[in-house]
Amino acid sequence: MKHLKSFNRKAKLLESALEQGKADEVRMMQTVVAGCSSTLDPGWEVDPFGGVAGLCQPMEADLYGCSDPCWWPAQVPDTINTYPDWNANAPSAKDWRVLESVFPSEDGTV
Amino acid sequence: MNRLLRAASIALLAGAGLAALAATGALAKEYVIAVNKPNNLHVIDADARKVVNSCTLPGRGSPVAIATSPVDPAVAFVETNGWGEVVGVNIDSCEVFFHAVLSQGTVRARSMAGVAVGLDGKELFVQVAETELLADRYQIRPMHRFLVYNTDAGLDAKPVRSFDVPRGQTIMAPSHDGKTLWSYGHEVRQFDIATGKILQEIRLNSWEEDKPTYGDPDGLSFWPLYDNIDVMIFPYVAPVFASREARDAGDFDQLSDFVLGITTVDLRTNEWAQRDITSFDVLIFSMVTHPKKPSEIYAVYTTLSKYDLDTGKLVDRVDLDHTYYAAAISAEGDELYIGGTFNDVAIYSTDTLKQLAKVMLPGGDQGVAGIRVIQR
Repeated sequence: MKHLKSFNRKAKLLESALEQGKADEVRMMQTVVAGCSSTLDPGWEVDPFGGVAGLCQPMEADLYGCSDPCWWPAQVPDTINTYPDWNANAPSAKDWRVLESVFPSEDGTV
Repeated sequence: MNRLLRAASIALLAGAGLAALAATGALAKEYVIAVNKPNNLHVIDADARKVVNSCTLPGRGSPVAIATSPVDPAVAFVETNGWGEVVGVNIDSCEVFFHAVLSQGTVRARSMAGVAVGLDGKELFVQVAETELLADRYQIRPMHRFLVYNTDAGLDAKPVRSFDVPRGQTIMAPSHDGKTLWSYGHEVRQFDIATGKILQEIRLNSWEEDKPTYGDPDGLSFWPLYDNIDVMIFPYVAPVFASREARDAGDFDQLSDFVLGITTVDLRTNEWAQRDITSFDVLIFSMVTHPKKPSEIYAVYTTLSKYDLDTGKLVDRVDLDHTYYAAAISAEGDELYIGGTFNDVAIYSTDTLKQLAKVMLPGGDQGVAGIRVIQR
């Protein structure tokens, strides 16, 4: 943690929670890996050993396994709540090329 | 009785007009239940190595968890539709006989693969995380809940009772005592299903006093894979420091090991154990023991490994052609069924770790959904 620098508002909130001794209210993702919450659990960009050989093979095998539980390190839209149709045209992640980026809605609700 | 002899026995008895005997336990067939996108349930005949029935479930899909009934192998409950609904389906006719929408009013509810049928088949337990959508903010409910439904509640099912549980409880398994269920979360807990009282707690996230030289465990248990073994197995990896002082200081320069271990719960006796297996060298997503040789344990992710629990030694390991998440085992212990991620369920020999078959599921990916094994 000491080598990480908070960059956005949410990260700064996490940091201040730790400083105020409220870490129990900000549960890091250990022993439960699913759900929309912050995690510093490696496994997407690098594996626990610092390389890539331990990541899911191929990468797309893990795509929906990560996006469906809203596991943000996958950096894909939240298909549980916010973007339920994001992968409607790609029931298999092998068709990942048809997946598109998402952008905030004009009214700011999403 | 091995697979070929069992199949021949069925054929012989059927030909002799004694097909009714095939329904007895001695001649029961084994099936693997799998779900995939967009919103399908498949029944795989394990002997025939093929999908024998497929059901399209109602709704937008992305099924995540399957709960089979301990008393009726013809039914399955599937958590699906943005993880906000549970659908009960007859796996033969595909008739949907149960439907529950977990969100109610302004309270949005989602279940993190927490669904199980009680031992008598009469009640369905569903874990929910709830958020109230107020006019100016989202209000997170601090506790999670287990909702309890009657399994015969029909197509507009409402919970008959509920109880608060600590945040983070997810997968569940009913104990053979018929009065409790076990659930995985930040700690593993046994709950009284009548009152919600926590009867036993196996420390994981708060194990620091139990294991003074161990750092916080990293655990992943998202699939109830106790079929045919009646034991829930929850893998963990954890750093082991040279001393408690080094652990408390987070001094990774004084790391003595990084271990792979398991927490196990025997659903027949409610007894549990927590033990290291070996040094951690490959990622593991789920593990299952041999039903007849409990010292043999198999682990799956991008490799398939077999360990000897008595010695901690790796007995064998093979590379898989792609990552799988969930490992289950046959009743005889001769075959492993591995699923999750893409749209196939592979079958491997527990003896040689050779691939015996790969069953393709019509449709898309399984994603994070696991598999279940039934006999009938």
